[in-house]
Amino acid sequence: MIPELEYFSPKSIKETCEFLKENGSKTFILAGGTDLLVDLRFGDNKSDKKFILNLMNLKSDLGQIEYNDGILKIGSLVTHTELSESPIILEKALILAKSALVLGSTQLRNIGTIGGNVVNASPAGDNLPSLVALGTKVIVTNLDSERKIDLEDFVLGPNIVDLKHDEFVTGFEVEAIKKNARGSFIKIGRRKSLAIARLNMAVVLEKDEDGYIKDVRICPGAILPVTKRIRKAEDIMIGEKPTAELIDKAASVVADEVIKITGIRSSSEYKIPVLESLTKRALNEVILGGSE
Amino acid sequence: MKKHQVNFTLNGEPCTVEIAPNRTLLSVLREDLNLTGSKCGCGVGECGACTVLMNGMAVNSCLILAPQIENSNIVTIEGLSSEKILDPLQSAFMETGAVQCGYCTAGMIMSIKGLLNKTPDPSDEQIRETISGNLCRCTGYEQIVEAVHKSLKYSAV
Repeated sequence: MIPELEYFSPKSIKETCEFLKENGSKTFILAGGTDLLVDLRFGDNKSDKKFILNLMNLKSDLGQIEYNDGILKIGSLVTHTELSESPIILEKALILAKSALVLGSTQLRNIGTIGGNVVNASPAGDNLPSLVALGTKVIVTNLDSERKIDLEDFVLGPNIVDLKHDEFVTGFEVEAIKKNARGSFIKIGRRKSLAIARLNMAVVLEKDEDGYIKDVRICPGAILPVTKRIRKAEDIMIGEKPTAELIDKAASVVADEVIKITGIRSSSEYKIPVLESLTKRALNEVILGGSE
Repeated sequence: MKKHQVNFTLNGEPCTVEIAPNRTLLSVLREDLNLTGSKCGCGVGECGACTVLMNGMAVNSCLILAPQIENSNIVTIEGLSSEKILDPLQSAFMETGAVQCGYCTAGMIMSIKGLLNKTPDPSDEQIRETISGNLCRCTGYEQIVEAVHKSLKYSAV
């Protein structure tokens, strides 16, 4: 049973911020509702929140995707379906279109939003590895100002983000994949659809004219409490030629770094070898061609 | 609790309901509007039995908070047939045996309608990808895919 809450549906960003300034600590923010409604219906309902604020009237302001000078600006109310079908995302950030396409199901993608997915901050969130690998900044707005924060710093823990009561996420700045770079996104789940990820991997790799690795981003998902790049593995690859030995070494470093953070868990017997394998697959893909 | 008036288009006609804001679209359809074609299977968006079209797109009505449909265009399974004339998809479902217990059927058909709105001549893969959010425990999905292809032959008069 969804609790009795007062419903408020602002018509502008300003109205939203004004409401949150007054009542933010007592307000659930509703976008697509695909996570929130489940929580409200089946949660412990110990929350003392009184309001539910519907963001969807702001769709024309917060539902746009723009590209300018290497940066994609994506409104927080863009749905996963829109991400997966957007010509500019397909052209400039294909791994994000791919991760949006494997999320949930058709029905969930039609209504679920990129903003909701990020703020929900599930460790298994399918878009998170792609967004982190693409150097995403989160745009957070309140009545007086706007701040930008790296996505890796925005998520503080499972389902916890750096969002104060009087602010909300209005969009994202995502780095487009450069001309000489390639990306790869792979999801492993128990089913091909309606599956929470068991493991995700997003990789972006840029080579220079002589074929040496200029930049690489390696971001596993559904294995750390907070989705982060494994920089130690990236660092050993920079400036090197992409050989099979280097890929094996990077994969091994990814596994070691993950174990340092999580320790050995009951799932490690399965997940760690799969993580190494997935890292190698993704790196091979971007070195041999991969997704632009 | 304060009730909200919600104005929307339902199966092609203007509709107004006054409801508490903690109601879902599914419960309003079934309980207030007597449209029991859409079913509740899981209540968490994992089975698709509640699928309806919202602005032409398939959505899980169990996850839509009712006030959010203000000014939207909602189509339910009841909106597909008029008087005694069935939609080609409904006829085809019956003929191919794509309906067994019937519980998934309404949601399945509405998901497919959402696909056909965008892709009038879908491939097998596109059909299967589209209905991957609709669970059927009876048919094994083969007859459902067959029904889609069959229905397109009816429509192409």
